[in-house]
Amino acid sequence: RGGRGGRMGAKQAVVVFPHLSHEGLYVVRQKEDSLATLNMVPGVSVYGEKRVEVATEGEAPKEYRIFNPYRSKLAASIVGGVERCHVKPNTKVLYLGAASGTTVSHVSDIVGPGGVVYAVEFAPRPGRDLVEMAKRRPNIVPIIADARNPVKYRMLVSMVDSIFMDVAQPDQARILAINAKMFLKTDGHFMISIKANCIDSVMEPAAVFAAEVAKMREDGLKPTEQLTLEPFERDHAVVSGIFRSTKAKK
Amino acid sequence: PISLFRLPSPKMTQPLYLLLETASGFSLFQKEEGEEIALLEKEVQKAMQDVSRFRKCVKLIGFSPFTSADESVENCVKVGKDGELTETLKAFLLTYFPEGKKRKLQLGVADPALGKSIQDNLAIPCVANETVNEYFRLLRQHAAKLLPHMDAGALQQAQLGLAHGFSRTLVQENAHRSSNMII
Repeated sequence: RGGRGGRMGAKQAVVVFPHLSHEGLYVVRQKEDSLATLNMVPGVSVYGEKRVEVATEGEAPKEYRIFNPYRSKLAASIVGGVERCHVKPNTKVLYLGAASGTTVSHVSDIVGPGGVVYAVEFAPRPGRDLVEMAKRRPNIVPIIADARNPVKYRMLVSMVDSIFMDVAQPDQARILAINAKMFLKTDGHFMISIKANCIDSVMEPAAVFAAEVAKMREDGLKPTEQLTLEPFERDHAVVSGIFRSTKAKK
Repeated sequence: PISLFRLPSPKMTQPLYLLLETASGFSLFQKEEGEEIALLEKEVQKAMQDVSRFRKCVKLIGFSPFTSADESVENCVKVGKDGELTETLKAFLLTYFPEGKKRKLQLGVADPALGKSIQDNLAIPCVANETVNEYFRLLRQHAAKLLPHMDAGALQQAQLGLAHGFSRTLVQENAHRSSNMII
């Protein structure tokens, strides 16, 4: 926070290597390791995040953007050690709760030019920033609409490989289910960030997560993994899984 | 234009048509006559991932691409978002279901509100339910292959252009609203 973007791409040698478990993500080795994505729009920071340039001999220099786990639940779940990240290169992602598009911009980096991010945000103010940011990134389809009513944006969205959701609403499991029913492929995946006290501020977080997971199961959303986001977020969990699995036993 | 509407044979139940709205235009499909398909069965779902299998269940009756960006935005807002009938959609539907003819059919729509608008204005019987929605999932999935002169890239380009136009319209509306509040 604060301070300028810093002198990026300084003379210091920076080493960047692909993340060991997740395609499309990178680790920048400096004093400390940080998570990063390959910048689709070199030279541009979306929300003031740091950029790192790496020049390899005989290749065009590549620029990476630091993906901060304190600012993004997707980054937090990756740094926190999620087993499978369903946001992958060359896939279609429906992103619900896009806000001003900070995480969406990294999802856009991850899916790359061969993928698409359908980014849905209802609030007009962050929505404006989202639309503005999407102008530079042709793999983002920005949609100003209420995720509670997916039928209203059916003309803008194709069937997707995965849904990522970060809406912090009490009925988010239902919102995920109705979107999955319309747009998520059979055997597609979902990742949902759940903030316990957004759903029930009295119940134990663990009980809230369990209740949400039970709701998802009723709608064909079969959770396969659950991860709390400590130390980056308090009483948050990311639940991911598969929709209408045809692979599972009967 | 030639009407492709066929009267159902008396033994059959009313034929089911499906109105698919995409960023590229309106399209109309007909469910092939025959037995009801158990779309929620795991094996059927698996089989339907293959477009050649799905083609045996539905056939394309007509496709009317949007001819301008303004037309697509107008239809995305009115038909898609508000469930209202536009001149474009009206003309499209009347091509296949002309007025004055007996309409023994059901038109499957994704949005019940749009179904009501169509029924009230054009007297075409509409249906919006879980079964119809299962067909729409598959139509959406295979749209780029089912629509004429279309591919995944072109459809995505259309979505991108339309989304920017659509969102711009909404942000502008809202910008006025919030600035009014401040004043």
